[in-house]
Amino acid sequence: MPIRNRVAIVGSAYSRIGRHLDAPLGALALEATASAVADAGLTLDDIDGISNYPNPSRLNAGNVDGVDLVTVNYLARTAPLRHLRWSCSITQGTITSSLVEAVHAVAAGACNYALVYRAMHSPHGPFGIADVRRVSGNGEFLAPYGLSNTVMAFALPYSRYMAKYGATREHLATFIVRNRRNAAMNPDAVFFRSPISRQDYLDSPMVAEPLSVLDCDMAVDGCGAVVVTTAERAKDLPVTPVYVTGCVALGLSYDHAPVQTLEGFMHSAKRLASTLWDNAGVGPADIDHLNLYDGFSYFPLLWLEAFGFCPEGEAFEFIQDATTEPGGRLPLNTSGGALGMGRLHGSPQLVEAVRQLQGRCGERQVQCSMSLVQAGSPLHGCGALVLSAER
Amino acid sequence: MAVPIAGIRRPALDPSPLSAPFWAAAARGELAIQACTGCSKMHHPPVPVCPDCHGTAFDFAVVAGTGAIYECSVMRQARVVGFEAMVPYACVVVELDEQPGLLVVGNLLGAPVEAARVGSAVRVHFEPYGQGDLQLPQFVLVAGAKAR
Repeated sequence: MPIRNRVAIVGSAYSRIGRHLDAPLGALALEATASAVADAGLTLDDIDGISNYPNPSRLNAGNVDGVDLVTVNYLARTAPLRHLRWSCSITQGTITSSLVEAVHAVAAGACNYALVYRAMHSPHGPFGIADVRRVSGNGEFLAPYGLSNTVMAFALPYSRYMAKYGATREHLATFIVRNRRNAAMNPDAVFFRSPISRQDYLDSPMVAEPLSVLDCDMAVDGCGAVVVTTAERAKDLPVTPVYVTGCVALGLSYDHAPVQTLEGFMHSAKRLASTLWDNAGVGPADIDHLNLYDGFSYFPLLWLEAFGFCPEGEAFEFIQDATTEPGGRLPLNTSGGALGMGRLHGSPQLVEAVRQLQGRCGERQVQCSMSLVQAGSPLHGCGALVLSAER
Repeated sequence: MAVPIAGIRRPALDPSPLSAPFWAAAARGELAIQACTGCSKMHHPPVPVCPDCHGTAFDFAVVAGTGAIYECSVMRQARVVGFEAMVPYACVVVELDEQPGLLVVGNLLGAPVEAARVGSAVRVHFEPYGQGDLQLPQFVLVAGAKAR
C-alpha cells in the first residue's frame, strides 16, 4: 500500500552551519536533532526510531564518531535516546534516502516517532584531495590517469551533456546566480546575504573542466534533521504537519562502465522518477515547488528532465525564464540549495520543502502546496519524496 | 608526438585475475578487451559474469584502439596526490569503434588540453607505467580525422 499521506513530517531543524565551526560534529548533530524534536513538540524520550546516512563526507576522512561522522549509536547513547525500537543506517544516499526508510518504518508500525539526520564535517585544510597509493578493481582503470578526484568524476557526464545539447556556462549562470540570491534570503545558509553576479560565476576558477569552484557545493560543518510520525499521531502535536504523499529510495547503476555517463545517469534517474510518480499518484503538473539536489550545479538540469518538467536536453533553456524563480510557477531550490547553504547532503532540499509548506520561510516564502524533494545521485543512492501541505 | 609524462607518481597497480590479461596485453603494446565467449559482447572493466548472457568464459580480444571521445574533463588543480606535475591534464573517456557504449579511460597526450573535446577521433598510444614492464594505454588525437 503506498504511503499517500499516512505519514507526516512534524519537526525540522538545522544546527549552526559554517565553513569551519568551533564545535565538534557530535555537538552539531545533538543541536539539530534536539531542535527538530522540540520543533515537533516532542521530547527525546518520545523518539523510538532513528535513521541516518552516516558516511564521512569526504575522501580520506577519519572515522572518529562525533568528529568525522555521527552514527546512530553516537546519538542513541549521547542524546540519549532511551526508547529506541528501530534504527537504520543506510550505506549510500543522503538524508532523503534515510528518511524514506523512516517513513516506511513509521507506516509499518516499527516505531512511532523517527528522527532522521545528516551531519557533515568540513575539517581545516584542503578538502577532497585524492591520495591513492595502490589500486585494484575499477580503480585500476581510473587512478593511473589521475582520475581519482570526485569533482573530475562528476565533470564527465556534464561534458557530454554540454556537447550533446549545446549547453554552456552562460546557461548555467542563470541558475547559479538565482540560487545564491535565494540563499541570500536564508539566514541558515552559509552564503546568507552573499549574492554573486553572472560574471563572478563565469570568472570562478576551474577545478575539473567543465566544473569550476562555484559549480561545487562548499564543504561546511552542519547538520539537518527531521522527525516523522503517522498522520494520525501528528494531529495531537502542536505543529503544522507536512504529509508524505509518496517516496522512493533508489539509486543503482544499470550500465557497466569505468566512469559515470550521462546516459547512465539519465537511465537511473528516469527509473527513480517514474517510480516516485507512481508511488505518489501525482505527476509533474501537480508540483508547485522544486527542491533538486545541486551538490554539483548541473544535477538539477538532469533531474528537471528525468522528472518530466521539460523534455530531455532542454532543461538548460527551461531554466532561463522566470518559471523556476521565486514567484514563478515552479520555484527551484528556494533555500539556495547545496550551492547556497553548503554541502549538507539533502538537508537544504528537505528542510526547505517542509518549511515552505508550513509557511515559515519569511522573506523567501513562496506560494506552494505540493513540493518535490530529491537528493542524491541516481547512481549511488538517491531519495525523493512528494510532500504536501494538505492531507 | 606524445612524450611520457615526467615527474608523476602513479599508484601501484595490483591486477586481479580478472584484469591481468588486460595489463599483460598492454605490456605488449596491445589494447585487449574482455569478450564473452558465449555472446561475444565486450566488457570493460572486466566482469566475472557476462551481464548479457550470464556466461563465465571470456577471451581478451585485441581491438584497433581507435574511437571517439565520449566524455572528458581537464583537471586544473593539484587535487590528486602524485599527479601535481601533470596539471593541467585531460582525462578522456573513449568509446571504442568495436562496440557502442564500450568505454575506456585515458589521458589525452601530445596535444594541448583544450583539444580534449567530445566527439574527437583518437587512437591508443602506450607509455611506460613505471612499474616493471607495465605499459599504460593512453590516447592521442587522430590527425585530420573528422569529429563524430
